[in-house]
Amino acid sequence: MVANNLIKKYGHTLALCGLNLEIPKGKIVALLGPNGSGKSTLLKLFAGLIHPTAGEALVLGERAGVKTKSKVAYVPEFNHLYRWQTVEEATRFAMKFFSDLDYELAQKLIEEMQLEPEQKIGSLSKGMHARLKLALALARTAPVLLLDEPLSGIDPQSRRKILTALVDTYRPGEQTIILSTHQVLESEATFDQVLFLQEGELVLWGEADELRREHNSSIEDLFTEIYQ
Amino acid sequence: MYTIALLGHELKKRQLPIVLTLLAIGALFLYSFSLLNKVADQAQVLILPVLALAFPLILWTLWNHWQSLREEWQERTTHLLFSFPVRGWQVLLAKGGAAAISFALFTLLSAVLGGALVMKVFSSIPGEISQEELWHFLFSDGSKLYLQYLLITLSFIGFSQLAFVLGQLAPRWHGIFSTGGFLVILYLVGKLMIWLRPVFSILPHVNLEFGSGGFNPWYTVALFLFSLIAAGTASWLLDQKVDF
Repeated sequence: MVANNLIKKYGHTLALCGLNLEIPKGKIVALLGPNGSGKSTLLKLFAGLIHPTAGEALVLGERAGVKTKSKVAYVPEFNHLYRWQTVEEATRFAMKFFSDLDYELAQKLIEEMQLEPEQKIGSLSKGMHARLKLALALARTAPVLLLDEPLSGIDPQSRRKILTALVDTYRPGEQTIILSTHQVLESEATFDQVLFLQEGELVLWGEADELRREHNSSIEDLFTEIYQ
Repeated sequence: MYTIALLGHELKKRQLPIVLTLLAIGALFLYSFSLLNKVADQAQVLILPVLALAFPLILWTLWNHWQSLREEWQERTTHLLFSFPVRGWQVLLAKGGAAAISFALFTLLSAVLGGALVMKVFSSIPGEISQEELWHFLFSDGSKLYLQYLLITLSFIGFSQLAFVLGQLAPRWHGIFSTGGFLVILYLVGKLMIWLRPVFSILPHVNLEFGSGGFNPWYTVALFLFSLIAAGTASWLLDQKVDF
């Protein structure tokens, strides 16, 4: 995953200001920053859902777009599934577009996430939505997984289930996960690398262990220190 | 394959309004049949379904199609739809196709029930016209007029797609920009039609077998071709310019 002088403007608002970074393959990378720092914008650019104002976002060597979408599993912060579908219908619908979606694994994850296949998506709670979105993304063998605030606004039990499923299905060395979150304390054990964003700029970036050693603090404390 | 999957998804999503509309059409004709014995001039009964269906069916189909697009943005399911490896034209073709299929179902039911009503009305007028002649006129003239009606509806679907996508390019007030865009597109197409009128007038017209009337089909053909350009432009904008 590469960002080359990546700029994104929404009208007159600059969301990303010439970002340059290279995320190595097979790592879990935390994308940290306050609201409006450009985390979601960066993930959407890699997911091919928005277009850069200037520069380029590359996924596995190709410009992010229609061609790279089959290699990317993207989970937005909000519910993006069809409310009129059942959990089962949503799974089967996604399978029509993603040949790498393993139906049996999806069923297993849905069961582990304590969801019923016949439940209507519109009737699910926020925590259940979050678990379902993640189950559908983790059931794929996509080399890139982009998770936008998967732990935001949900109960501790759901957060625990999500993190357990993430760790259990992760394929180190093969799969790259970029995870944006504010729940640093709960998830920091999973991070290989950490990116700190502020007002669309990269303020700190490095291996999680190195950052802890250099700053003699946890990532959580570093987060508090940077954004104070 | 993706287009077929999206089309199936659209039809499933729209099944309730489609079924309700078919039931409403059935009820309208049932009412029209019930009026046959209550009015002196039975031919007047034909006016009711024509007025109630001809123009409103186009509007209803367009409205449903527009709603289908609007809901994707409003409910943010565009983040699912466009996270799939699909192109803009596939999404728009599926949505337009679902609208066209629903319209075809509405008009097919209307044609069958309307044909039966016409037969019933004319069979009660002795000596006016034979059953065979009536069937012949219904099929030959009806199919010509139906094709015009279908092409006009499809054209409006194409224009509405471009207008909707143009509205999404606006930083805010998407609905207002889309509606304004639709009116501007219709105005421009109208201007083009006026400009092309001398060309159309020298092209052959279509004659109707019932009576001595006829019509110029080239306006509809041109309208449909313009709508294809509009839908193609909308697809390109979705792929290259619209952010989700």
